[in-house]
Amino acid sequence: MPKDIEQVDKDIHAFTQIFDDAQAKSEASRSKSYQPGGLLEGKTIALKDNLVWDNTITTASSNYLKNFKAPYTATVVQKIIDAGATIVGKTNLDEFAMGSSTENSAFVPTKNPLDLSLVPGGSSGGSAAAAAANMVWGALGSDTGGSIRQPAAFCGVVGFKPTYGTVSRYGLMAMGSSLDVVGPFAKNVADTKLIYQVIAGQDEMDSTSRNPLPLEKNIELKDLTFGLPKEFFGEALDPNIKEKINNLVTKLEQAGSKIKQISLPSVDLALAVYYVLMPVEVSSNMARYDGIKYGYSASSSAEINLEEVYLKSREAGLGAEVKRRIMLGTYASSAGYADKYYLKAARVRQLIINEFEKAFSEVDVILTPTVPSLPFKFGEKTSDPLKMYLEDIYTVPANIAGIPAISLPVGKINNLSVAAQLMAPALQDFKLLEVAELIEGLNE
Amino acid sequence: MELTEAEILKLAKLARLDLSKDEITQYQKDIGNILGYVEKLNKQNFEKKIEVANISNSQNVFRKDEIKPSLPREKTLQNAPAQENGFIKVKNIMEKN
Repeated sequence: MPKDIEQVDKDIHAFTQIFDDAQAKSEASRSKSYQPGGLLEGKTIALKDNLVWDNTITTASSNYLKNFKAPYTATVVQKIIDAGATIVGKTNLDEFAMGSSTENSAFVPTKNPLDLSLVPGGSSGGSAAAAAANMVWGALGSDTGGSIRQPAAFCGVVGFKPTYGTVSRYGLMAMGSSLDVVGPFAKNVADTKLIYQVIAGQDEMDSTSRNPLPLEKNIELKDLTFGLPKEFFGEALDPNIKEKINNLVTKLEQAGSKIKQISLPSVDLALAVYYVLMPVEVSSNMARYDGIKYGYSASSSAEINLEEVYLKSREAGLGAEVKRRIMLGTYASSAGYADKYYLKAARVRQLIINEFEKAFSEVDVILTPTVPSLPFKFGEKTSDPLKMYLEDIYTVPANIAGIPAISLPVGKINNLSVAAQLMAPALQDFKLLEVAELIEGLNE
Repeated sequence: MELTEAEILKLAKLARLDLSKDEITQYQKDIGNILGYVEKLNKQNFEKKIEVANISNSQNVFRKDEIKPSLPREKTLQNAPAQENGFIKVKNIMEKN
């Protein structure tokens, strides 16, 4: 099995590491909780390389952690292993999960299996590509502003961002701690749901974690009302994608669902809120990479003092986008600016949360496109950071609001995939997965 | 808007980043552009009092005060750039007199 993966991955570069002894390694990591016949028995999984596994190099696709051997195992990784899965490797990402194309990986960019001249999306580009190219049965990624859903859309697979807190973040290298969520990639919704069942649940090692609501009784399309927020169907949206979403809406109406046009006016501010809150949290979370405890260090140089160890280790080990966000976050949280930027954004965040809650009193599920445009070419969006940030306009609101959101393929344009995004109220993850599975069935 | 070189240098010092001249110029532009984009937040006025969002809805989450094993020393040190006698070694933090 590894030999095939290596062969296929030569063109795609989804993996930062492929384990030769994958099955033995996973079996050796099983805890007392393992029992034969688990939900993932015999399944192969790839892990985004910002999830730690004891005694295994975990790089976050950064030069800073190129040789970092993790000293413990993430809760989600242990759960996957104890459910019987084999972890075949670690996948490529934008460095420290910052980016929307995987071009920010300090190592090598990953290519989109649907078209090797195009990006796979990011930051979980490697996991999306590994699942799309059938190198693994499923994969784990992380989503802070769209980093599971957008690459899922670009690569033509299912990608699910659970409700904030319903999957433990213990062992996920933190990027934006009030936004980060670990979630699954798979070829279909049923497999995605299986992975989520294994990884979801409160964890004493993550005090922001909680259980999702249990699965509801039989859900049928004819009993559901779908909301279409007009802010997601404006000028930014590629008309070809809009057409495919409209086709889906027609099918839903034929199946008996109610469709309601809604408005979420604060959503236009969501990206601005995100690019204030997230960099502030990043600048705080990245402070630990200081050249002292682990990772790249300039300390071997005899002449430099302590402060220079910090300065030089961080300068050499961290990439441009990471540093840009650290700088932005430092500004937005600094004395004299914190009120104007950070506090303002944190309050607009509550506005957005309130608006979603109000919308969900009128509709069951919100339906939107996942991304405004189709996958782009390498280098197309790297000259202007803002251009890249705008890729996330439809995905960011769900992270701001903490609600579950899933991307699933609903159509094709030539050999590229078009995806729809579904969102539900917080903690209704299993209901959302049921609805997604029904829609998947509609399209077949 | 564009930040001044002095402002970038101040941020770099706070963030412990040793930027090159090219990086300073680039960040003046980039951060200025992004701040220009997020300016729209300042046009948002709140009619009534809106709280700062608390996304996890959690309050104090406690655990029982019982001793559990912590990360073993060898594991803690396995990635340390410099170590001595079972400690992580750092540069001098006090000046000799």
